[in-house]
Amino acid sequence: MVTATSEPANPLLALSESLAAALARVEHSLIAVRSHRHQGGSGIHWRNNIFIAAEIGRHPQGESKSVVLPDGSVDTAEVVGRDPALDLVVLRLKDTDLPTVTPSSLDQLRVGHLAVAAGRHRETGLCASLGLISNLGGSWETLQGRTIEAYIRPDITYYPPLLGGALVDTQGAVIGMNLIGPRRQVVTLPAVTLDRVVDAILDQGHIRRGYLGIGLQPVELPQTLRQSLDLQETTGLMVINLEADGPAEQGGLLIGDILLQLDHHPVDDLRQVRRVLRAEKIGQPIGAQLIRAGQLVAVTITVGFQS
Amino acid sequence: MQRFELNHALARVTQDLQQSTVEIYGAEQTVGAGVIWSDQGLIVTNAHVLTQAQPRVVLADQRQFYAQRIGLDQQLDLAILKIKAEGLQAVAPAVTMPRVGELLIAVGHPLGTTRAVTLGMVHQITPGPRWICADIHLAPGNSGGPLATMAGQVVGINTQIAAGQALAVPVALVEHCLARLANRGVA
Repeated sequence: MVTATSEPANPLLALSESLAAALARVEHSLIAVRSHRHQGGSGIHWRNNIFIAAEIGRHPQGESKSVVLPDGSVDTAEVVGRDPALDLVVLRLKDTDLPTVTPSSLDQLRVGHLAVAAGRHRETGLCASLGLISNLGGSWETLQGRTIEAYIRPDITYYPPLLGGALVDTQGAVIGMNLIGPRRQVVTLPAVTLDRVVDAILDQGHIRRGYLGIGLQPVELPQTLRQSLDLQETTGLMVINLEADGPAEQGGLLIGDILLQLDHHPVDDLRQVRRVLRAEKIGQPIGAQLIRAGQLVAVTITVGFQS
Repeated sequence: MQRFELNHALARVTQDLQQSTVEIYGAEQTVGAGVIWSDQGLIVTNAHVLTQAQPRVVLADQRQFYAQRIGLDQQLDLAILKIKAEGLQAVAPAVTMPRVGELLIAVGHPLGTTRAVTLGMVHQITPGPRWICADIHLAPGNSGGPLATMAGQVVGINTQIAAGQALAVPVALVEHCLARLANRGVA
């Protein structure tokens, strides 16, 4: 509609309309995931009949989840698999005619861009919150040693139904999924990471992690020991627990051994150990350097896996 | 220049809304907000803002009036006041409910800072519709103040803060309250 008018269009109103329109583009791709003891979160229709959602609660279990669809109807979704390290669950709903989301490209994203967090509340339906992209960075690792392709932090106020929901750009494309990160701040898992998780879970039913079957405790190395062995390290990881027939026991580790290096990487905290135990290392032999009875010993461990 | 158009529009909506927002003082100089609903002196606020029979009302131009309370609905937490003043700038109430994701601005006196403005969006609409929830940060002193669209139309009266959300009573319920008063021949 073109009309000659002396009053210039209100750009603010146009912005408001476009934000609501961007949200309308994802509205029918968002489901509410119900939880008995918790408030529940949201899930995103990622691929044909495949949804990805945040796992809520400490000990997730069960083969299915109760979900609320955009039309308000309640349905049961099958749990295809879980990613415990990222608290994600992949769900399948049969024969939905709901649209899937359009992932956005990370290359276009800039600090300062407006973004909307979108989710579905089990009773009130669509919900949203406005924010800016306040921080953007390269890949980062979670405490469990999982690599996330990009660090995206929106300055969005967290409301429970937004957990597991989508961060939407002003065009209605999905930047990623909103989760609660360190210090209860919202972090967004980028679409590429979600794609990778969904691929792995559809392929294997779970996310595999390398596994050694040991309990470790950081210990300070005494000065005399460091001098006698000519060590740079000040801290090692003492083996305090060994799983029977686990990969570490089979590799010859003993309780009381102090681990210094794993796969040629110095390890003085558990995070570094997890970093070594990436999925690609499963089934591979890795070298371990350790102190046993005051002497440096090298052993080889074949990395096992844990789902 | 196109560059400052957005801020220009925002400033205009803000100024208009500020003109229609009043301060309402309670017994111990606690302050709440109110919305000028008609140029005949009708003011809408929250029931919980009122602690006195004739509350003192201060306009944006600093004129002061003692108001008559002419309507009260504890259930909706709404109160209607009347002042004898001229040259009042009344708000334009919205005729439709806003959609989730629309931008909103709120004016009020959070913690005593008069006519402070905040921006956010519609977070959700609860069934009824009973509440418009916004992702706006409110504080005591915002109660009774206007929540408006980017066109400057008032969609609700800021009333509660619950779990970090701003809850506003929708205009339709305010109109309902006013209609009941009119039926009794009061307003």
